Amino acid sequence: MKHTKIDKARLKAAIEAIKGREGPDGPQLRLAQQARIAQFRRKLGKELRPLFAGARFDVGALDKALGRHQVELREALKKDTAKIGKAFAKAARDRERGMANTARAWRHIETKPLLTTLIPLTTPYLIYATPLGMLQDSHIEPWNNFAKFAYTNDQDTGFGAVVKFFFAWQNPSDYLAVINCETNLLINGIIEATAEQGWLASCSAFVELTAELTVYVGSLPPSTTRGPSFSGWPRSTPKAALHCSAVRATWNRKTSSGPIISRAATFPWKAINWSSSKSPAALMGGLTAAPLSWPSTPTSRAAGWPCILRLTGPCSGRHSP
Amino acid sequence: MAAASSDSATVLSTAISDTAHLSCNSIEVQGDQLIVFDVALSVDYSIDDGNVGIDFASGSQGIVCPGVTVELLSPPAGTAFTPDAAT
Repeated sequence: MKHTKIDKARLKAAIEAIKGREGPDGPQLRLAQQARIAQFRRKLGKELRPLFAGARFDVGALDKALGRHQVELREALKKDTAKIGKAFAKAARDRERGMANTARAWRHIETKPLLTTLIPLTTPYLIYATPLGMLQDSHIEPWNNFAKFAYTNDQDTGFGAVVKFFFAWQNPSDYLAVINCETNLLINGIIEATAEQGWLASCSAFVELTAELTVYVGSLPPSTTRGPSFSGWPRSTPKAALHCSAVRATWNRKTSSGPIISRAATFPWKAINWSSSKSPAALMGGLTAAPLSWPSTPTSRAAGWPCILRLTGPCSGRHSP
Repeated sequence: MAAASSDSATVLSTAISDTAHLSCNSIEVQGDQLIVFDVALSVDYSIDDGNVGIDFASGSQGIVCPGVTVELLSPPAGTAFTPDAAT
């Protein structure tokens, strides 16, 4: 089998293109909607508070205020629905293209004896984080690539931050290939959310972490799988009278599933030149001197090739087959 | 870790130590085609009069991605696998 040399300039251009891509926006849309609803509730609380000050209740005014609140909320949700529908339509188109990719892959390998070759990519080409400045330390070493980062925000907003490890592989032949890929992301850290007291309506702070693997296949649609999602949700419920305070924590666990095509990848690069005898993974890594090797023998899935990577605990050491 | 807040603010802090196993299966790759694997930890947040903090930097905290394993399901047609050539 031929071995390939990845054109680093082209890989760099590809990663730059990926960086600028917009995500599926699912969590952000949901969070933005929650924030908007909370804003309406707070507005309602501010509107209602003076009504209680004189210990006289104007039921009519309360009803009017509540009615205005519901109208504003419905209008806002209607706008959100249109926005979500647009985002979902794009996701559906991308998913269709990805499913077509998967179908072609299955047709290529169907009814043939399954022979697998494992190719470990042990060093990323790049560790990247945004917002810039969030990344405090990073390290690239075969089987031990890590990033350290911290982030705080107290602005009333809903945005995201992300830390990425970019790996790459190039089909070393002129022929079509079918691949599976897998990785582990080991997570050790603390998330914290603080919500101020609210009057009648709650203040809120929500933070959610999601591990995600996205595979960008040249100009073809990519596949995405999402891993466990970790979330904390402090928000208010009545504690005394109309003041609010309580904490609710939720853990959302999503198991990895089959390929879900989330977005189309159209990179500004097409042809790749390569002519090296070195391992593609080593050339891809480029950042360390440690050579990578292909499996010494071809192996079948039934034969149970030893797992290249199966780390389940805190990862500080190296892999030892 | 998080920004300043009032004494009466409600705070929730959650320590996370876990491993996310991620995979994508049955991907068609054309000859010579370059693939980029984007392994990410995404942080989504929403704040309405509060703050959020994320600490994956102190002490032994952080995120680790040991690598990506590509499983080639079949040798590309018309080629023979010669592991000795791989160095």
